Amino acid sequence: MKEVVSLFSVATVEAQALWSAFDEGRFALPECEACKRLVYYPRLHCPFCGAKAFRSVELSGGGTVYSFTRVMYSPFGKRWESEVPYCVAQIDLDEGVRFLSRIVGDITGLHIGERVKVEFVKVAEQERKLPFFRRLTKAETDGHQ
Amino acid sequence: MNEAVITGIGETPVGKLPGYEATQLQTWAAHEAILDAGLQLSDIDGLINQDPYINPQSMFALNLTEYLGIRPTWVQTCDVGGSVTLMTMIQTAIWAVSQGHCRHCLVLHGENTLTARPANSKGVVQVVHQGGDSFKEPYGVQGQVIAYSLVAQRYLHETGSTERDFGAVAVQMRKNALRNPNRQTRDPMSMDDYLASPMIVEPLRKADCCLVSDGAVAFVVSARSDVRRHDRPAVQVRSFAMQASHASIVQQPDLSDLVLPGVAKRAFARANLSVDDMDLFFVHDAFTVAVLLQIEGLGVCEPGKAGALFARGDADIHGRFPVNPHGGLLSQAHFGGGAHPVEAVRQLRGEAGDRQVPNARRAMWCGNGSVLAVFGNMILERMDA
Repeated sequence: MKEVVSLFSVATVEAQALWSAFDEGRFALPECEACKRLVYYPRLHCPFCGAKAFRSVELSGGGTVYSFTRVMYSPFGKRWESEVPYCVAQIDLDEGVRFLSRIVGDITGLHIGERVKVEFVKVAEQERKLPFFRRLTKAETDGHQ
Repeated sequence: MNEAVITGIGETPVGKLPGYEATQLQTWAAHEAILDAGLQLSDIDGLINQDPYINPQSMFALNLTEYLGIRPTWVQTCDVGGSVTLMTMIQTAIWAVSQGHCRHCLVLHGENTLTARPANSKGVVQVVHQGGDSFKEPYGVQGQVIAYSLVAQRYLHETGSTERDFGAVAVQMRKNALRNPNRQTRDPMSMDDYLASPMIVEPLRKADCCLVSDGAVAFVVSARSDVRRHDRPAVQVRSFAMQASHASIVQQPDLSDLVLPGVAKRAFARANLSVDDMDLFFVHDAFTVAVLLQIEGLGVCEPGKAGALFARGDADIHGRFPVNPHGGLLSQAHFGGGAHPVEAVRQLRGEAGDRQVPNARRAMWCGNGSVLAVFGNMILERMDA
């Protein structure tokens, strides 16, 4: 997989652990220590119970396509044109979180409900990685069933 | 407590208006509305306006106060999301007038969305980078169209609707717009034209996306005892309801979990009316799929059936459920969604000319903001003398 162009906002205090995990290629999300629910995106306080302590939980990386789209234009002007076309998707992670990301590789025939798996992709000109997703290989699909 | 009614409406030309920023556009619309209400500038003692999105300003109500040359006793700037901002402003003006803070309150909404956007950009570039939105751009998601395309793909999957259902909305909105002299589009659109429109973000074509426009609208909300013009009916707000559920596509709930059905239920209950009592509908049509979802969410038809409703012509001005007779955001103009309630007032007054819906007495205005993240429903009604 080639490197991708990406645009990051300032990493606010509650999100630093998440971005660091991603940079290291670990697909880990915060879990509320009080109510044990996964929280994505990270908040200062749990949006379910209001508690303030979280631990980082490593996820399986498996998920199901909730929806997807093929973007045919650059929403960021010239600097992003090398990425077009690309596939944006909402992935329902096996652990119960809906995760907005991209699907890399050929998406011919991709359908809602299809199984996908996390794949970290290096970001161009930055020491960073992002959790994108890819379709399962035939062997993986057979193994799953 | 004073009863408050809508007595004035103003709408600028739409399209490209170089040299006009939100200050000039809102002022232009304000004077149209004051004139329409039969008032003078000196009668205005309240001002509520919208903070522009394309070029956000601080203390924007004060800017307009000074620029207009008034000293209002109620002054406020508002931002909620999309057309729900304008609904909230009108409701707030009603409260301000009914509580005696002012007697004639201006409500101003609009900006130069088209001419102020960065060169060579498409759609609208949004200034949102905090909270959930900071988990969007790293994955290549900006603006509204990518997010709406995810909603559109899911809608097709869940309902079995097709691209022709989206097309039926686009074709109807164009047909409506061609009856409106103040519009940005020029040419008719057939289903074949729609299907030939280039794919922007699958499954949304260019023809599924709203226009981007310069323009503004204004309203005067007055105490009923101070209505100046008695040669035509005033228009009242029968009810308003709103609810927010999230902000960004990062937190998009299931389609079955959008807050619209509950909002509609409350809006109808507060007016003691039902969907069958509505003579026409104004739906925030930023994208074709949003129209289908809202017509269904309002209870006009079952989920997945709105495309057929449009294809049958039921949404035409002569149909059973007329929708956006002025052409909407898809084919008239989009500078925030304010032209919907202006047209609603025109229709309810019986002043809509050759696009008049016969005997229009009550209108449901359904707005939303961000990607179906906040909904508002306002029921407007003609007050017979």
